[in-house]
Amino acid sequence: MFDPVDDSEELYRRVPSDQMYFKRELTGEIRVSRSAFSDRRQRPSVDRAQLCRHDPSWTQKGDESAGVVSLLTQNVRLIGDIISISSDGTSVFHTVDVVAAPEPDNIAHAEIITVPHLEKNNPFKRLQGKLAEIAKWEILPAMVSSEGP
Amino acid sequence: MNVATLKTSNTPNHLYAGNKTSVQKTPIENELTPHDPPIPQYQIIGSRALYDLLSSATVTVYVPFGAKSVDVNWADPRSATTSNTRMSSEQITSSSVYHSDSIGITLAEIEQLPSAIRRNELDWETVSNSTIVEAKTFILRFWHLVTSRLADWDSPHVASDGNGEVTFEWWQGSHTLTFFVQPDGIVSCLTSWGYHIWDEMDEIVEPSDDDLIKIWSWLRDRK
Repeated sequence: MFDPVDDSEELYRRVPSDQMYFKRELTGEIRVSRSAFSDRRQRPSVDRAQLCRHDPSWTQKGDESAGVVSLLTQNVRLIGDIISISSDGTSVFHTVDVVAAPEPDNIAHAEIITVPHLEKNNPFKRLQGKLAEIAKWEILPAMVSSEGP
Repeated sequence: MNVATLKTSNTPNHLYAGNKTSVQKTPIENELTPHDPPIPQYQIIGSRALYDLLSSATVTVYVPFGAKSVDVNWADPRSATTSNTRMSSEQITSSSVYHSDSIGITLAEIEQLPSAIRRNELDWETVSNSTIVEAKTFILRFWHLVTSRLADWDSPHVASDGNGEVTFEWWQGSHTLTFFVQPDGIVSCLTSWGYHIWDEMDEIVEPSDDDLIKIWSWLRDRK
């Protein structure tokens, strides 16, 4: 059993420097796309800031062109219950959680999960959108940071 | 759509975006002839503009709605291009990280999704040719609905969710609008206007034309 992830913990998510993942708005703001949280297993990976010296470049994994966004664990959990419809037509409530999932080469690794796990893609779409909305830039991708404001 | 149609010049131009019909032309517009085609040399300084090279003698600059102005320096040799050169797909891709109101760029981005997925070495389902066709059909329908009512169009962010779908995203303040085009052509739409995942999110499957107009108005009301 891994140590629980505290509500106060900051999480980092890598955003490749590719236009698929962000867009600059008229205001100059760089918006994070929902595609930055795509995950076929529906368990987006993140890194726990307190286990990587609060250094977002840890999450770049050597790719200095990549951007990094942060999320507060509490805000992820506060997204609320996701409802899916089971095969027998009943509503199933899924909570959103963050769990530690250390890997041999990354002790900070964690995952954003739903409990019970979402089997269907549609409800996950909502979660993806919310994660993108609460994400904040720590490091801008090279594609936009090199272009200036 | 704010469009300023210009001929080439060796002096910098400052283009102002006003309302949707605002146009400012350079003083030398009528000096060019088909027998003396200019070599458009252009660079748009600033992050708010995109450009298309439309014909041998004309460079059209799309000035995004809401932008105050766009500076154009026609003389920068680094950005020189000949009159017969279309922007390559890669150049369009690089530019499209910025705000735009060009439907052409959106269509190009849809076409490029499979290569973007390959480029990123993602463990995603690719976007099939039929999905690309469905996505282009939908976005053209939506674009036509919006612009035929003289409303302003903003290009969406084009991506995939990793499951073979094409997604179109728009943001306006706290409002987020996303369309999903599935491989079977079914279109669904998610709107979001706050934090709560159910109380402040709504979903429409196969939106009608009326739905699309209402959705666009809802998005644009947040300007």
